[in-house]
Amino acid sequence: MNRLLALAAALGLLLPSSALAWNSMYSSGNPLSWPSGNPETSWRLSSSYTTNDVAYSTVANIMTDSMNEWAEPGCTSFNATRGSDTSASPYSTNDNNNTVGFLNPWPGEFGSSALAVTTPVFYTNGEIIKADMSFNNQHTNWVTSNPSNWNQSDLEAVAVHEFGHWIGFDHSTYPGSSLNPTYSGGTSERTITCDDTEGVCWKYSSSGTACSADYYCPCGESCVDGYCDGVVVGDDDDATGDDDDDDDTVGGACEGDPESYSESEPNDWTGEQDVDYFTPGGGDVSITGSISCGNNGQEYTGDYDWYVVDFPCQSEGRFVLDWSGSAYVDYFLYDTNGQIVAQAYAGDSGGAPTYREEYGGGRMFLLVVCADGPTTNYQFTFDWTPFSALGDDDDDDDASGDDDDAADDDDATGDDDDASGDDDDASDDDDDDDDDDGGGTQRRGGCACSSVVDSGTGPEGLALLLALAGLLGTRRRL
Amino acid sequence: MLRHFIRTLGLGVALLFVGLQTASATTSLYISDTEQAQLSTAVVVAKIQGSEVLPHDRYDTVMTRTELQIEEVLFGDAPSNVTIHQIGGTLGGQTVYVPGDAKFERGELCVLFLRKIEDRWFLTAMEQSKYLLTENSKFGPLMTRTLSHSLVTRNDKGELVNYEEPIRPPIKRLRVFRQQLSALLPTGGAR
Repeated sequence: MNRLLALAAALGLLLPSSALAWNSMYSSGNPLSWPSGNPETSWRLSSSYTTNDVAYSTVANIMTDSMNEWAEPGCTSFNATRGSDTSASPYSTNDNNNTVGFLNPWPGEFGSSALAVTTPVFYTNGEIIKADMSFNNQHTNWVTSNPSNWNQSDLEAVAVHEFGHWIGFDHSTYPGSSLNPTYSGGTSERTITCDDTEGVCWKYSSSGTACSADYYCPCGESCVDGYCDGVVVGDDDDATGDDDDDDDTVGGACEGDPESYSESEPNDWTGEQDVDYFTPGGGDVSITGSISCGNNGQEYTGDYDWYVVDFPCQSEGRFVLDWSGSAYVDYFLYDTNGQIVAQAYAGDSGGAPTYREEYGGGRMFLLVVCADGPTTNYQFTFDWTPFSALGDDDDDDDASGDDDDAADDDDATGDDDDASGDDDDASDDDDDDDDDDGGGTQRRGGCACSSVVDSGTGPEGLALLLALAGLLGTRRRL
Repeated sequence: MLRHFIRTLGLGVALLFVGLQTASATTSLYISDTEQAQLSTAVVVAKIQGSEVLPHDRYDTVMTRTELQIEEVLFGDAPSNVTIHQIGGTLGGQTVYVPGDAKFERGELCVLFLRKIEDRWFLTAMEQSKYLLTENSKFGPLMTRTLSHSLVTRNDKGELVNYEEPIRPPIKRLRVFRQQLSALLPTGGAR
């Protein structure tokens, strides 16, 4: 049971809102932003709702610096200025002020554990009308340096964070605090990150590339001679038809050199960081590992190999587990919604499952388990279109015998894949995975690895995982 | 059979994923259930009767009032019907949004940490104060919670750092939770 719950916990905590580092707030599907075309807005410091912890002038400077952080990247047009001070309260949502202030008493509605709250007011179309920012001046002592006791909080670190929300961003989750222990806290959050830069430049874009530090450039770029990657214009929002602009959310297609990744134990997710986590470059990925097995074919009593992979690309994928020997090795692949993208039982007939839906990029969770047999080496492959690494093509991998649905002819291999549906002809192509005539994937051990693509499984997919990996249910033995 | 089992169990864990798409403009300190209970006037099992949005009677904003029918008091004391107050809501085509605060749907059965200040009831710690209860045939009532907003805690230097929930059950069994709360007070909490 504990194991079950631990797995559930791990999944729940590690499921990000997306693979993006930044996240916009939304209203009915519309990203929140200040009125388009005029991102420049102003905020006002309340002269009535103040703190005794930090001098008023210092607070003003801190707030100015915090907001300016978000306007610093050359690739954003966003700019917010400090307006005249106001006596308004920061919880008045019926005025035209964007008020920043300190509250004591702190509203009971916010609870005592909240340090600061930003309350945007917006229309359904996502247009922000106003946003106030309240700092808890009842339960927190604000400081301007690293806190020295438990009641203190660094004002600027929190303010930079809150101003990010003020301009319409939600909390950033990538690469995810659950997996990335590098967040250093204290005053280090006084600057935005490259991820924040990407976000603000997406929401309020500009063609500029000026920078004064690497983190004012999109992630992966460096600030060279005052410009991101040294490119004076930089942005590629041109008319060339390519797609190198910074508006991409998950990069381009999954193309690039194949990569290999080897399992690093422990990755059974029983400890805080016991999981393999990596971000490939965008090409096909081959994972090799070793799995110990249960011994009755009914339960996964052995090893649990977890991998979390963040793909900076989007494509159509095919996923194959290969191994040799007699072991019953299974896998489950989940997306960030906990839905099964693909799964495979050792005893299934069929071939490599193909994720037919457009894969939007981002994080995927892979679990490899084994129910019976000796400790076995395996290889799991993320194969993106055009499928080339594995030889076969366009299988439906179902048990129906037919193949080649009308939509799946994405490759360049020139095989059958016609719209007529059948591919069980006598020709020598190898489009289905139902036959092991040697032209398909190199699956070893006499086992065809998979057959099920069940992207519609929904939460049951997680339940399946839990049932199988959490020792709850019996395993299907075919 | 397996699929039936999967679907059944799936309902129990589905809520683990609900709401993970959002985070918040709120920076809150993480507090444990034990700490939260001690900050609370009551910890209850409650059924959501409904909500209404109206102009705030104390602040120049809007508020949402949610009616609760208390099914069980797990800790502390509470009447059989409670109205909790939250800032925010949609009124007149405009939304005042307090991300990181709990959201309620009519008919939901929840475990809630409630705090009474003067004559008014609030959630003790916004979103942290709401567990959704779902019945599971195998485990009984399960408590699930979505922590979508930015939780921070303090490291050993007192610095604010992102709160990283340890790998432990986010799905609590109500029966176990009752026992935990009962241990908090000499008299025991549940009634």
